Amino acid sequence: MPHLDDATIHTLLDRELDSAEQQAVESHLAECEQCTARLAEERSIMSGAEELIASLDEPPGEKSEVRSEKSEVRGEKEEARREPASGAAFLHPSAEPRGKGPPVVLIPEGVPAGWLPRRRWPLAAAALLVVAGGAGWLVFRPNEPTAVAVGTESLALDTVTDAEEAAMSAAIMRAPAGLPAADTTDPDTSPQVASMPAAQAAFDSPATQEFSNALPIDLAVGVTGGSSSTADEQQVRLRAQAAEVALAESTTLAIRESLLAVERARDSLAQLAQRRSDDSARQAIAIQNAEATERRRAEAQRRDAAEVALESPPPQPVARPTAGAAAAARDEATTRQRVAPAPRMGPIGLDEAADLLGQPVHAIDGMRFNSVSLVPGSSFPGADAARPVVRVTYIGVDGGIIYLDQQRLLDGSGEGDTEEVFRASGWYIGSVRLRLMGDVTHDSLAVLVGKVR
Amino acid sequence: MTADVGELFKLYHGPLVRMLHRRTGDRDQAEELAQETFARAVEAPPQNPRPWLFAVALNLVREDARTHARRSRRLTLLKSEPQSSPAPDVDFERRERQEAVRDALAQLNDRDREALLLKAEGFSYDEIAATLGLARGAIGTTLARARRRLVEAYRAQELRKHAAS
Repeated sequence: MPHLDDATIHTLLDRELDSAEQQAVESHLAECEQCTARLAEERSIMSGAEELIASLDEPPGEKSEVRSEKSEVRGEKEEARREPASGAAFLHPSAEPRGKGPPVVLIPEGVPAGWLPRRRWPLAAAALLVVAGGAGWLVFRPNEPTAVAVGTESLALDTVTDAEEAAMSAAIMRAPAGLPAADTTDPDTSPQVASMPAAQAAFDSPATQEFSNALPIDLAVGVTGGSSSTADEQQVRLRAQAAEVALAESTTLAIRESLLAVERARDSLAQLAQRRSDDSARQAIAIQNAEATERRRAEAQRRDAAEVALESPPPQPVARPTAGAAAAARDEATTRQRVAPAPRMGPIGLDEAADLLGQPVHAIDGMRFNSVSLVPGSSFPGADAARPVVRVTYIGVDGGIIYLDQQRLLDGSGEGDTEEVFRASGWYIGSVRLRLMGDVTHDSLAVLVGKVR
Repeated sequence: MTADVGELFKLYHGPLVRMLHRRTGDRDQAEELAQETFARAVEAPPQNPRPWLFAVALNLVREDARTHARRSRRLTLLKSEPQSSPAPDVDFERRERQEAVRDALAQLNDRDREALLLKAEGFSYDEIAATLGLARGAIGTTLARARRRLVEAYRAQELRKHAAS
């Protein structure tokens, strides 16, 4: 028998050879080392290809959970909207979605085929099509604006799936890059947490750093008062609390919400501080900061899972670390700064932001932005990682926060790149990539995207 | 008729959406195309449903690829990022890998790509042949070539990425 060709090997691996062929092939393989080696190679290719294709799927539970909850919301919205909606005659009362699962509308059997839209756009706008098994009804939902269907994929701040949690945990535990490392380089204030590597990682994590970013505001306006060492102690203590929260299993959502709250508070405070420098403004800042701090404390105490972290003694500003540890910390900090110099984060002026972007800052037409700030990160291929994301923050009419993120492309990477990049990451204006997100409905966001100038 | 379609829906909606999502990279587009596929099944109930449904779905993808892409861009970018976390790079690595795989998949011709996707859905050679209108004897060759090209295209991308970074 001649050597096996690729097709035969793959047919063998797929168990699609008939018995006679299989017997002949196996006999040949028993005698031919060359074909045996090729079989192993092709098996590796086959499993590699299967793995790549499977990687295109969303992680289990990520989409389905979100979708199910959204379906419930949509069901409620539609119920309110429907009366006396046209097309209601097609609705079967028992078909209204109540639990998880696709929404259900029924079409009586015998409806002419022409009644069903032939193009998919009306179907798309009509959301999910489901069939009621055995009932003699087809399921269909009357047309809605496309934006509504898309809107049901709204940003679900209150929906954290397992996969999102895992991703968030990974982000929390990831070693920081380019973050200020003053705490580890200054032996007088460095917390001795070497015995708690996980706590240290969480303590230094970007999430925790973000979480505690509001603290300098407390200190800067002198609200908390006291000596600098007291202030440092308080900062360390509060950051330790943040680390404990980050360690708790169920705090992902809390962190996310708190980050939003902190971001919102910080933006508001920055604006306040710019407009008013008198004592009343400071008082307002003091009150808001106290509330924010109390909210974080309450959040940490409320979570049962946080008790796990609290059982361990929180990192305290205690004795100086050993000379070796301090030197190692300094080396680490030096390395970090050399490898990835931390850009200055926080509020910036429009001119500075425009310099970073290489073009004027984009804004939502007809809306007054709340603040312009820099946030760390590079979220798409082709982004210039040396330039942080310029974030223009808006407060919607219902109080929801809206972010318009902008980041410059690497020089020479071109505009738009591929469609796939576009779909996954945002859209482009010139050499700047934009992304709009916020805790408002997708209907609103869909409208706002069209107003970005 | 409708009960049959209901049964088909139960059996094949999930796999169909999964295959379409792998093919298009767009969950909502996959849902829409699956709906259209079943709508057509209502109008003309298929005799051999699984190959028929997947063949119709793949045809719709090809028909739709051009017209849908431009229209959906802005809205797609919104729903593709359900999180509003302030951290812009959360989950980035997974998305980046998916983009690389999808780019690699896009380098295959339609027949190779579709054969791969159907095989990933558990189709037998006979079913793949029926769906794609190929001879059964060509399936082994098609799959062998498609798998190798996909893996090589992905590896080439990885190498380019590492070289660039």
